[in-house]
Amino acid sequence: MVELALPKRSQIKNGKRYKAPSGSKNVRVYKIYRYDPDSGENPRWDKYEVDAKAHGPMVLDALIHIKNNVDSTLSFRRSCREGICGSCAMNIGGRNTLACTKGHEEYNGEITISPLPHMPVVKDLVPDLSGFYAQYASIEPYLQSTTPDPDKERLQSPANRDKLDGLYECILCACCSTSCPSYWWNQDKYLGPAALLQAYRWIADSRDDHTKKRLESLEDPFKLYRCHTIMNCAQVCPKGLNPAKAIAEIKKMMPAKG
Amino acid sequence: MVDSYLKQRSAKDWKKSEKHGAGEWLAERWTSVALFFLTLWAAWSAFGLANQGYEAALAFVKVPLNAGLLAATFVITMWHTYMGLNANVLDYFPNSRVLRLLNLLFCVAVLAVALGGIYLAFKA
Repeated sequence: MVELALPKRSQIKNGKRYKAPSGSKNVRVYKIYRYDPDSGENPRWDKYEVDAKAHGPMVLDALIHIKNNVDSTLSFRRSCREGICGSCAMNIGGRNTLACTKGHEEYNGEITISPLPHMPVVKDLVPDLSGFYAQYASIEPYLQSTTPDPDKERLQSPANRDKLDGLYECILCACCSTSCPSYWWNQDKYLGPAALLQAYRWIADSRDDHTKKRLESLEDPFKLYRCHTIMNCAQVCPKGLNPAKAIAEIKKMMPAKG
Repeated sequence: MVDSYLKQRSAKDWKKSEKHGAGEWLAERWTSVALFFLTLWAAWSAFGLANQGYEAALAFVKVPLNAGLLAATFVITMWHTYMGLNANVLDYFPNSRVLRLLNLLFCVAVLAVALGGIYLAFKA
């Protein structure tokens, strides 16, 4: 349900400020959300002054620099550092994105970094994505066919393969779902843009013949129809995909499914 | 530690389909299309009746086609309004049956008054 104010335990206080080493040039300030549920304290904004010349060009480089050299208690997820694993998805400068593909020079002044919005926080910049993954699993993201397994791979025409472009590239970083107001209010019932994009990826696959079953499992006022084409998902997707279009395609197919 | 992180929500626990929604989605779109034309007709008719007085308006409603179109405009407007307000309730208060009922009562009441007025004017 919609929440108009933060619960008392979630209200963010001002935290510490970590000064840059003396003699630093080109100092950037990172305002970072810090929260440790085990401490019993409210979240806080810590500010880190960092010499931009001491680390690489990306925001993730700055975070790694802070963790290695300034404050080892800072928690965040990261893995591939090249925009393919989706681990370092976070809200930077008010917009969900991947820290590893976002250059710090793309921002002016103080750079604000917080976890993906409206998700439970495990610690600092690490959101709890277990519900998000359960949603993904619920759309049965694997090929289902009643035809017997062939000796070799299941073939697909180039034209049918083209239908999967713009769908298969999703890295499940959750930037889209957590930027969607409908998902903020009803993430316990609404599947969200990422899971629905993946649902359409299998509906559109010519090798999968469980289309009707897939559509039937999605026909629901909450699971599918909470999408109001707000388009935040398409705006923030770091891979340039358009989940809203995939959702619109599902809606168009739904009445004709029989 | 966050509770849900430990609970390991399963895909099998996820919401089951209510097996409806496509009909409502189609109705939202078709009522929009119908209202586009009916609103143009209603605006054009109102423009023609401007400054003509009560008798002219009464004579307008007494024409069966006009009465029918006016009734259709109100039925479709309130149907569309009901669906729109219901979408708001589901978005912001998804568990409130009271608000959904109030929405239905409000739309039915407005429609009843409108259709009653048209009927009385038609029979007058």
